[in-house]
Formats: sequence, C-alpha cells, structure tokens
Amino acid sequence: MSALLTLENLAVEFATYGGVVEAVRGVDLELNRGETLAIVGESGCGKSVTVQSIMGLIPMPPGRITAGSARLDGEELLGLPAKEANRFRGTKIGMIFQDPMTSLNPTMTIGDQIAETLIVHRNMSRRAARAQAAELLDSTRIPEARRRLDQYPFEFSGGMLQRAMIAQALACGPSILIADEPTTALDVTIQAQILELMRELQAEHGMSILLITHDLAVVARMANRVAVMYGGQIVETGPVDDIFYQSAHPYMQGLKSAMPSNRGGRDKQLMPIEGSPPDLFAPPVGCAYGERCPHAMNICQRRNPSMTDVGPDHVARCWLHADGAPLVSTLHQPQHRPGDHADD
Amino acid sequence: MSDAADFAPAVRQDVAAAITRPSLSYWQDAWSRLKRNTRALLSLYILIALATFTLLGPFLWDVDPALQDLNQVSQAPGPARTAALVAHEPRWSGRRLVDVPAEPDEYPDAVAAPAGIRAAQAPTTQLVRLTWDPVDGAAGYSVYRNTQAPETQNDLGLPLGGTDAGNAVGFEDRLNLEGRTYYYSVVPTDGVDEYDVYGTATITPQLAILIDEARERGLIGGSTTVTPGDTVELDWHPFGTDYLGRDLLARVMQGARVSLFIGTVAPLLFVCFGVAYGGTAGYLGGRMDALLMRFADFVVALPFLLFMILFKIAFGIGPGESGILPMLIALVLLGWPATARLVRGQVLQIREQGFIDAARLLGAPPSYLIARHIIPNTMGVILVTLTFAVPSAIFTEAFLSFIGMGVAPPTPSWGSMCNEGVKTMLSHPHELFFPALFISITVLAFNLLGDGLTEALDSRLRSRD
Amino acid sequence: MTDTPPPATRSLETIPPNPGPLVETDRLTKHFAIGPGQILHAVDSVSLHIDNDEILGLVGESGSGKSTFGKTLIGLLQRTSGTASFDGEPLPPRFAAADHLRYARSMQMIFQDPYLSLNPRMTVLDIVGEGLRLAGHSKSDAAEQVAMWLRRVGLSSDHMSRYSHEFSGGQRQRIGIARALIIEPRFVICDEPISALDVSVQAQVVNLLDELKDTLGLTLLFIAHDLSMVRYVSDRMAVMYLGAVVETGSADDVFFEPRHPYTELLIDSNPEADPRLERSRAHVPIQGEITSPINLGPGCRFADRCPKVIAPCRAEPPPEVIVSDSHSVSCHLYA
Repeated sequence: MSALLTLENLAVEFATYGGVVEAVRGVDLELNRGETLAIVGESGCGKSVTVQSIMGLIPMPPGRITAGSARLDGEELLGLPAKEANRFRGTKIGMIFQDPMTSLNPTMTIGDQIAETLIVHRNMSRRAARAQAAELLDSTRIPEARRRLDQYPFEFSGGMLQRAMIAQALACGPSILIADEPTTALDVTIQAQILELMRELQAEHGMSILLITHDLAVVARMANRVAVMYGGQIVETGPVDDIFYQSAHPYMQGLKSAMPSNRGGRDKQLMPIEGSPPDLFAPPVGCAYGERCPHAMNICQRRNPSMTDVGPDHVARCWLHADGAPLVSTLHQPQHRPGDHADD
Repeated sequence: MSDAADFAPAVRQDVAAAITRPSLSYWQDAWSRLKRNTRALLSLYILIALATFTLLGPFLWDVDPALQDLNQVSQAPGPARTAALVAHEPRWSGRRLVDVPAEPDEYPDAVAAPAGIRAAQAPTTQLVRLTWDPVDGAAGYSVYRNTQAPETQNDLGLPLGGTDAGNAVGFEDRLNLEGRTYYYSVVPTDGVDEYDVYGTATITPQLAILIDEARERGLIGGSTTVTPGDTVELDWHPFGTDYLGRDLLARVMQGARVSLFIGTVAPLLFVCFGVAYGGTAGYLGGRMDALLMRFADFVVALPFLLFMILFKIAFGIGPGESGILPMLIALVLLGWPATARLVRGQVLQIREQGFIDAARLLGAPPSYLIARHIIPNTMGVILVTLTFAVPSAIFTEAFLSFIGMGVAPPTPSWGSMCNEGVKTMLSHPHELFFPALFISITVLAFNLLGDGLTEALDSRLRSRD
Repeated sequence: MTDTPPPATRSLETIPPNPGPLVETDRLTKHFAIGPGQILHAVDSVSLHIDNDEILGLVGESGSGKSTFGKTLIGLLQRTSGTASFDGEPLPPRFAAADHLRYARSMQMIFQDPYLSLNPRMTVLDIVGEGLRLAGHSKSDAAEQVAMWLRRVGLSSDHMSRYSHEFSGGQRQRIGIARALIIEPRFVICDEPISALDVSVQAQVVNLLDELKDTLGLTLLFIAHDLSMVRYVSDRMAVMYLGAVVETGSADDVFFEPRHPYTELLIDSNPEADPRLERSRAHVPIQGEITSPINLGPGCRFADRCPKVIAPCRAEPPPEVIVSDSHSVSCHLYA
C-alpha cells in the first residue's frame, strides 16, 4: 500500500543574522492513510519547520529548501508556485497551530473565517458557506455553535478557539490534518477534550493525522506510529509500542528515563540527559546526539549514522546497530517495565 | 569501512556548557551591530564632521558674520573675485549738448526711439554713466534699469530717474550696482508724460572698489602705493553673501551654533525630564500613574504654535536679545510628554518581568530597583528617543525662525537664514540653498543614526548568538 | 562535578525547629478589582500548611490561582484578607522593601520564565550575588560565594562574567536557582520552574532542586501544572480550582486515590507516556470550559461542570472533610 504523504531527504536552512541555520537536515517520512503519525522532539529539533515547509509556510527569503521532495498521492508539493500551492492547502491538507489565540484573525468573526475556506476553495456562495460553517462548528462539539458563528475570537476560550481552528482546517474535507503542537498551550482537561475530538473526527472522516508535539504522553495517547527528531534529523521511526517499549535509540531511551513514571510505590530516580541540544549554526559532523549519548563511540563523532532496520517497520539512526558495534543491553533486548499493564 | 577502534567509547570534553564565543556586554554588542550598518555609520561620521564644523569652524574661518561687504552684496558662491581699484568720483553733472534745444518747438505725437545708448565711461559697480543720442521732440528722458531684458514698455524695471531737458543726455547710476548684466532703458518724455517708445542697452558693470575702502578693509596694505586701475582681490566668500553682503559661510557656522545648541540642549532637557516623569509614573502605577499621565495628555493638547507666540510676547524679546532662551524654554515645556509616555510604557513592561520581583524579594529598595534594574533596561529606548528628538527640535526651531517666531535678527539660525533666503529665492538661490542644505543633512543624518540605533539596541533582534 | 557542599548552616546559632509548620496560611484571600463591581477572586480563603523539610506540590489549571497564591504568600502581592505566618511569626499583609529584606533569608522564589527572570544587562556575577550585596556583603566575598554556587548548580565559575543571553533555558534556570539559594533561605517557592524547559532539561533541574533541598534542608512549595512531575517531586499535594483548594493529602494519595470530582477529572485527563495504558483507559472528557473567577456565586465553584453535582453544591460553599490520614477534601459529597 503506497503511503499518502512521502517526504524524502528534505533539507531546509535559514539565513539569519548570525549565520546559516540548518534547521532540517535530510528527513524521510511516510504517512499512511487513516493513521496518526507523531513527530516528537524538543525545541529546535526541526519538527515544526518540516511540516511548515510541506505546507509552503516557510518565508523564502530567510528560508530555503535546499533539497528533498514531499509527495502527496504522488504529486510533488515543494516548489510549487503560489497558486498551485493554494490548491492543496486547505483542500487536501488542513493544518492547525499551537497558539489558537494568535492563529485566528481577531478582526473577523469565527463564522466568516471558517466560511472563507469554503468560499475560496469550493466557490460556495456566502450563505451556503455560512450554513456549512455552522455544521462544521457543531461537529466540533462546541455548544451553541450557531450563535457562536457571529462571535469574535476574543470571546472564545483557548479550547473553543482550537475547536474553531479544527473546524476551519477540516472544512474542505482534507485527507491529512497536520496538527502542530495543538494542545501545548491548553490546560490538561481541555487538552483531553481536544485530543478526544481529534480522534473522533479522524474515525468519522477516515483522515490521517500528522501530529507534532514534544509531549511523549500525548504521543502515547494519539499515535499509531512515531518519528523521533533530534538535531534536524529523524533518529528513530516505528510503531508506537516499539518506540515506547523497545526503543532502539539512546535519545528516546534518555527521554523516557528523564520522565517520572506514575507507578505506585518507590519512584525511580529521574535520569536527565546531560548537556543541551546541538547548535544548528554549525551542525556536528558526526551523530547529532553524540555529545550527550552515554554510549558514544569514536565513530559517532566522525560520521553521521544512516538509518538501520531494527525490527519490522522500525528503523533507528545509530551506530550501535551497525555490524561490529558492542551490545548495549538496554538497546538490543526488548524492554519491559515492571508493573506493565497486560495487553487487552 | 569501520574497524574495531571506531566502536571504542568516545572521549568527550566537559559537557557542562563550553561557551566559546567572547562575552559581549549590551553596549559592546550594540556598537558592533551599529558598525555593520553602513548608513548609520555614515550618518555618524557626518554628524561628527558637523560638530567639528560648528565648534572649530569659526577658528579656521574667522570672518565676522555680521560684517557687511557692500561691494559683494548677494554674491553667488564662487572663487574670489578681483575688482578694479578706483578713486572716489564726485557726482556727475551729466552731459548737455549745446547744439540741441532743451525744449522742442513743438511736441509731435510720436518720436523716434532713443538710440546709441551706451556707457559714457567704463561702467563699474561704483557708478554707471549712461549717455545716448538725443531724440527730436523730447523735452527730457526717463531712465529705467532692469535685470532682465524688457519686452514691453510696462516691463522696463526700476525707475532710476531722468533728465529734465531734451539736450541732457547723461545719467549716472550709483544705486546698488552689482557685477551683473543690467538692461538700461531710456524713454523720451515731453516734460510731463512719456512717449510710447524706448531704447534698451545692455551694460555689465565691472567690479570696482574705492581705494580708501580697500585700504580700510585691509585688502591692500596701508603703505602700499596704488594707482587707479590696478586690480585687487576681494574677500573670498566660498558660499557667497547674503542680501546685506554678509559672508554666508560664517553665517552658516554661527547659525549652526545657534540651531545645534537649541537642537541638542532642548531635547536633552526634555528627555531627562520625560524620563524622570514617565519612569515615576510607570513605577508607581495605579492612580498616581493615571493622574500623571492625564497631566501629560493635557500638555500635549496645548497648541504649540500658539504657545510659542505667547511666549515670545510674554518674554518680550528686547533689542539685542537673541530670543534663544524663550525658544528653549518653550520647546522643553511642550516637548517632554512624548518621552514620558514612551518611558512609562517601557517601565510598565519591565516591571512585569521576573527579575524585578526577584530583586524585590532580595530586599531591594525602590531606588535601587529603578537605578539598577529599570533604567538600564530603558536606556536603549531613551537613547533612540533622544536621537530622534534632536532633528525634531532642529526642524521646529528652523520652522519657528522661518515664520519669524524664533530667534530674533541679527542672530542667525538656519531657520531665519532660510526665511531671508526665500525672499530672494528666484534671483539669488544660494542664500536659501546653503542653510536649507545644512538643515536637511543634519536632520537626515540624525534620523538615519536613530534608525541604526533602534536596530542595534532592539533586544528582540538579539538572538542567542 | 559539584563541590562537596558545606553542612547546612543558618546564619547565627542553631535554631531549634518550631514544632508547628514552617509556613501556614489561614483563609488567605487575594481579590483583584478589575472594573466597577467586578471582582476577580484569584485566591479565595486558602488555608494550607507546609511543614519543615517538606515539599508541598500545588497543582491547578489556568485560573486556579496557584501562582497568585505563591506571590501573595511571599509578599509580592498585597493580601486582601486572611493571615499567613512563617515559623510562627505572622507576615504583614503588605510588604515594604524593609520587610522583604528582613524575610529574604527566610523565603525566596524561583521563577517560571528563565528568559524574563534574569536582568539582561547584568552579568551572572551581579545577578547571583545581588542578594548578598543587598545584605551588605563585600564584593570580593560575594564573588567567592557566587563562584562556589555556580559550581554547585552545575555551571562553571568562568561564567561569572557572562551575560544571561548567552545561556540556554536550563542553564538560566540554574542561575535563577543559585540566585535564590545563595542567601540560604529556609523556604523556597518554585513557581512553575520547569514549564518553559525541554523534557530532557526538566529532569536536570528537578534533580538539582532535590539534591539542594536535601543538603540545605529546604522546605519547598512546588507550583506546577504537570501532574506527573508534581507527584514525583512532592511529599504532599494540594489541588486548586478557581481560587480554592479542593483537595490536599500525600502526593500518592491524591494522585492514585483522588476524592474530589475535579481531582478525578484532572488525573483522568492526564496522559501518560505509556501507550498500552492509554489504550486501556476510558476517555470520557468533561464537557464545558473552565468558568471565570470573576464574581463567583455562593456555592461550590465546580458545581457547573461537576458530573456528581447534588443540590447543596450550588447553594453553599463545600465544607472541608478529612477522609483519611492527612487527606482532606472540600466537597459536599463527603459531608
């Protein structure tokens, strides 16, 4: 089955005041139909830039796509002239952003903003578009949707704005929803509502979700497959269970050890990852994680590892999986955590 | 190919933050950014040149700006001119022809146009003696002078006078002669009215200066013997002279002192006051803040021009006073609210930042908070405000002096010089050009510098590099 | 990498520990007047106590008032009513600069935003040494102590002459910790100290706080919205909603056996980094939004959204009920 969205070797750089930043350094991704793929990483890893360049949202004077392709259903998305790009933005791919307060136009009513997509892409009349907008807003479980159509963003709370953004993004029935940190700015109870809403809408419409987040718990809740990014590259991709229980990359393992686990009884000590993320003005020659990795070897400082198969549909970018590398117990055997819940 | 050594554990440097770039303080960082901005750097050099011009100029070019060189009134800029030395001549009695009647026997309806209008002797800027051929039927002649060729009889120019007899064909002109081309027209009259004909001649007087005057002015040594006809070099006026013969370069220098004095002292004063006022309002917050800002709003609402006029009247600038002080006071009294508002906004913003609370918790008293935490963080805004306030004040002063509400003559300021220059804009544009040029360059340089400073000091543009 | 820390000292003679709690508030209230007749009940009648050497975690969502509580307690905001005491001594409702100076060695705060809580114009030496200098220490003495403390928080003493913008978020937070702890306070309020940091860096800061707490004998109020982290760090935990405390108890009790419907909701909504667990959980998120803390009515604040609401909830404020050993709930269901 061919993937719905394929990214190959995507590379993006920015010319800034202090020099050139290589924000994305060769990203390969596949998003299949009907699945949720989470791209997880910390600040500066390049996950937002990756999806923004798919959507053509990177301002091209400071930014530049230096290599790679992004294909939706076989059609190339990168480098399209603005008019062509508009064709698929909103109709084939919808996007919601992190801060709902600033992502909606404060001078237009919510109803007008949702209707705008329909008027522009589907050539609907204003009246028809507004009627459709009411239905869309309703489907996001906002109470009194019809009345709210005429309200302005400042009258909405954060959670409601996010629902409005979802309604707008889904207006033309896209096959992919890109959600860039959709719940980071929301309270935890509201986050639960929005995540649940996204799952329900996904089931209803059969669409794929590309979810960008730094929160591993959200990933565990939502994702079918996970891609872990670090230093502008994908370092591990695989099914969500594999990534969480049999991670093949020291970074993911490091992240898990750095988070508290909620098991009753004695807590294990948090094991932080020492150091800080790499400086992308002068990306390291070798593995980007090498400086912080407890298992770093000489080769890690000299050459950047390529992706190695470590399981069915599971790849990792790490020299520890190359032939001849020493065995590291935590990486090369399945990991079970004490007190794991049994499979249902 | 990889070998066993590749997989040996790596030896690492200390991960705990190796920072290799040199540490730059805020001002060092801002300065290096400013240097990279060529426009701002150029403006800075221009302003330094201007400051040198203003402060050192009068020592290098020590010409008295009030000295009137009446031989070179409204002279255009150019190299030094030479003039002929002439002796003083008494008034010309004119030229009367004996074989022509003083009055005609009868007055015809029309007469011939005067011809042969020429200079009786070499015309100089001291005097021009005209003579012409007599016209039958004329009982007198009127003489006109124009700086452009006349097209009709209504266009003959300045009436200089005339003669009262048909045979009086000589006229001497000593009126404000300059070394330029004049068009003299002679019109025959019947003793009462003029005939409808005229003749025109083009005369260009040569620059001449009286020997006595030249000695007085120091153009020739006291003991040197000279003969009329020798040439002497007149004072050089690189920028030319104005309508009273005053050297424009010296006036521009003096005007610079006045304009820049007002333009820098007034902003310094009102920015200082604005900072204190706005800083206090922002820091106190609440009702005091509201009260203080309402008063500032009130001051903004006062009509500036009206106030300047009232000030001028109230202060009653007497003769001999320059009018600088009232203008300074008015600028300060009316200019501070903008700065106060800006600083207040900045202080309100800074107050919310965590480091203020942290310092409070450590026991910092308000004076320490303001001096050590708040003001240093507003310095950028203050500096930029100052840099933009200066050209604004210079321009305001120029404008006020231009409309006559500013410094009083003879004190020159660039604005009052523009005011004088406008009157002769069409004939002697250089009188307007130089002060206007200096105002424009100064204001532009300050504005560009201010832009550069804003960019260099804006902390949002400073990333972690 | 860290120096052997000196034994926990207090400035003068050893003070025998007060038998009561170190910090105690009784019906502490903070209201903001935000317009004619509009009162924002940021903190309403909060009574909490924190014992010596204890870490009390304070959780809640936006509008819960947890940060406002911390700031009012430490004197950055003026108290509207109620009392607060430190080591048995009542704290004034309004703190003048002299009061802050007096209590500087008793209470300090670590702030949320590492980018805004350090003065960009000051060197690290100035920032960290400020408390000492304000207390009268000499420049050289302060420099010596700053060097020691920088090493202690995992930085190098070479960093003294640098400016805060040259450091990463995690490093800045360490500088903030050094600044707060260099004058050896007994009680530290940590106001969302890790919210602005990356996951891998959060653990560094939490471990540092833990270690320093043990070696210096600190008492902490740990305010955060990350439930899992608060449970891990704290001994006891209090949950706030719209300005009122709804439940307090030991961290494990409150987290694993919540009694108040809001706490249940909160724990339920909190996702875990465990896919199998997530799949097995029933997710029935609550409907509706967090209401506003302006002009609240007489009953329980949670009544509008509570799935277990009963008649008295809207009419009267809920009573505080002790359900087990040090675990108390403010809810009519348990009255």
